[in-house]
Amino acid sequence: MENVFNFLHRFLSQHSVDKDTIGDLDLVVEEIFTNMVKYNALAKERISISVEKSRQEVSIRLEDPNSTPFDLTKTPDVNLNMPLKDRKPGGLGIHLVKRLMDTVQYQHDGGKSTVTVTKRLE
Amino acid sequence: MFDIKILKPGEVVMSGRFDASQVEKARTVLEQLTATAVVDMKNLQYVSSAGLGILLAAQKKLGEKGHKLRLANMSQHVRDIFQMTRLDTIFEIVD
Repeated sequence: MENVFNFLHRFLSQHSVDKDTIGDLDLVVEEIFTNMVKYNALAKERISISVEKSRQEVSIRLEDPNSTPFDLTKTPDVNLNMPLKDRKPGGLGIHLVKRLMDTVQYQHDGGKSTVTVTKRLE
Repeated sequence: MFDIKILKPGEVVMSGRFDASQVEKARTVLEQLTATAVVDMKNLQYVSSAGLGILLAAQKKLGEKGHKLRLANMSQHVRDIFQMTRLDTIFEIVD
């Protein structure tokens, strides 16, 4: 994860993105990245991450070139109101991605999964 | 860099970035707890769902014996994550 965070921090800091937004984007990238690794642990090709910034928003795209389809935008909402004994950690990561980002898009084409998220800058 | 230590019985301190790569380190320490403990998060800058999962598992295990984790001195960013996941209703959060 360290290499991923270093890449992200370098780019976002150079482009004057505020600390709170960097924190949100860190979390979202970790959740999507670990999800891709978790559901495709045998993949031999690397996951790629690209970041773009305009005046209005930051957009991040993660691509897994050889993956099983898993559309995180279509997962059911996690029940956050269950008591401790029934609470499970599963689904919290995707919930956070949806909460923290303004848009989340998923595409699966030719064996490649692409997740693109955007965060508006205030 | 993430660190977690039991300072003395009932007192845990956590600092740095608690991401998915730190899960085993945290689990090893939290599994040693057998009674209610305060976790000082003053210098914890970041927690992801992997970290939340470990804390939730520890809370469940302690809860089975009538004990719990109390989370203290959270930064606003960490507090926001607990609120968004409603884990602020599962843990006692103290300042």
